[in-house]
Amino acid sequence: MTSISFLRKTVYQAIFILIVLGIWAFFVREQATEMTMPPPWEVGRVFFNFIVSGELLFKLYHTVLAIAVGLFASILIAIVMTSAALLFTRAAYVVEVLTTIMHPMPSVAMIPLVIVWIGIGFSGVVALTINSCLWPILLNSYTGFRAVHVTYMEVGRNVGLRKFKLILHVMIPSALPYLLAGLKVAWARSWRTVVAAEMVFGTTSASEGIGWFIFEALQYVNFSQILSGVLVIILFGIVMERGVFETIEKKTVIRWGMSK
Amino acid sequence: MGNGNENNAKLKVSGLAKRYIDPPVQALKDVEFEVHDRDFFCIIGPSGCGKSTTLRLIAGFENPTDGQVLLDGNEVQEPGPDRAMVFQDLNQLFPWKTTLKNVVYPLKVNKLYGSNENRMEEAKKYLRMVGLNENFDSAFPHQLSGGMKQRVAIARALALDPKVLLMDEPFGSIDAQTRTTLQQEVMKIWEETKKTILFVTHNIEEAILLGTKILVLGTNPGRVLELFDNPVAPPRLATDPNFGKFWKTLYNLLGHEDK
Repeated sequence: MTSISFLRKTVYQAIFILIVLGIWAFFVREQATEMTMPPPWEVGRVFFNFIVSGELLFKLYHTVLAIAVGLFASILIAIVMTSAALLFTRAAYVVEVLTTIMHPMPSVAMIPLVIVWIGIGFSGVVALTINSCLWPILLNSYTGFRAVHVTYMEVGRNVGLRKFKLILHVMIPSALPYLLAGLKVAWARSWRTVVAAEMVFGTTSASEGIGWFIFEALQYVNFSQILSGVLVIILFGIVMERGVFETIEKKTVIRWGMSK
Repeated sequence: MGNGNENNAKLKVSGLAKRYIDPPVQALKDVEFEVHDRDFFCIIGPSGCGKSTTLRLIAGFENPTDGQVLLDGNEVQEPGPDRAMVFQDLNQLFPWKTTLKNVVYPLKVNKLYGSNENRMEEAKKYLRMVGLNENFDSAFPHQLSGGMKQRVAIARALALDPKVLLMDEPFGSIDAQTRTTLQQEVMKIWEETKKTILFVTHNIEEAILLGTKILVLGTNPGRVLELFDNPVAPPRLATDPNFGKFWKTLYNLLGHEDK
């Protein structure tokens, strides 16, 4: 994508968001009480205060830490399992049936088991995150490696590439669109899981994440705080999507013509 | 294996057979021929005659059921850059590498030409030889036309300085006009570089235009029908009466085999 069309896209998206905020402000003035739905500027003020006080960033740090650890562990496990599945047919059978069972499993359904087996602390949150991230990563990477264009592999062998170099310099770049897609899905799913886990675990432990920040506010019926928590998730999501994923895609798969 | 001194063949194919189990097909049976230094050796035959299988066995992508392939007296076991190959597939360049890097990378893998700078120089030399100027060096494959991609693939194979250059219907997916240009350029390159080329095609004109020797394969099972020294003297123009005569010979041989 050229920088001009990127700019145009951003402008259109900003206009859309402004329209939504406008509709919000209009309805709050006409209908709602400040109790159930504060106006956007009130939420903005509260959000700003939470940021300045450092409280929200502290909560964000805790949530992101759990996500980072869970994602990183998922990637490592996925590398091992994908390699095994590609190398050994029997391992492939196991990986296939595991993915079929576990991929559609909602993380919330695993919460009781995790509470009993692992506990409600940080490691419990990480365990749930791994359960939600591992399968999309595994499924996509396994599919991606199996979909590597046969001619690329033959060219690689023909010009003298063997095992490790063939994997590193042909299979991985070739499967990159799939690998990135798996990471994006895992990233989104890790947020859902961690925030949900923090809400459930938070009441009984010293959990400090965004999930608890939002859930806590419900008890004081503090809508501005609830929405501040939601807002920080949205903003962080936009930064990651635009700043990290889109940048990587623009420099790799889009530049290489492997993806639009 | 001997060192091949008793026989000057660059490439010696003997008793080559390939049988597939599922579905059960005898793709090749007792195929024998020799390719000598500086031959432009064309293999021609109807579809299903095993001409691509023959090339793939020589390249080492598959193992023969019977027989062997000797390159300079040594039996071929696995793929290698001494038999650099140009494929028919227009997607044979690595899309994540620029034109120049696609040519340089295999040289680096094989530690050829000493330094990185020399490798760049060599790669550029071959890219110019196939008719691509420096404006395309930094282009990615998806920005090139089909004909240009095949030119880069030829440059990549040539730069590896293979003992035999394998070409598997490299212009099979190219439009007729571009194909004519590319045929002439390959001819020119063969004359300049003195390479030994093994070229598979199903196109009679292409075989006559390019080959010094033409091997005709037949189907069911894939086998050698006849080996010709090209009787048409260069430049092999379609107006040459010998061209028409030889064309008819090959056509009858192939046409008969189709039934």
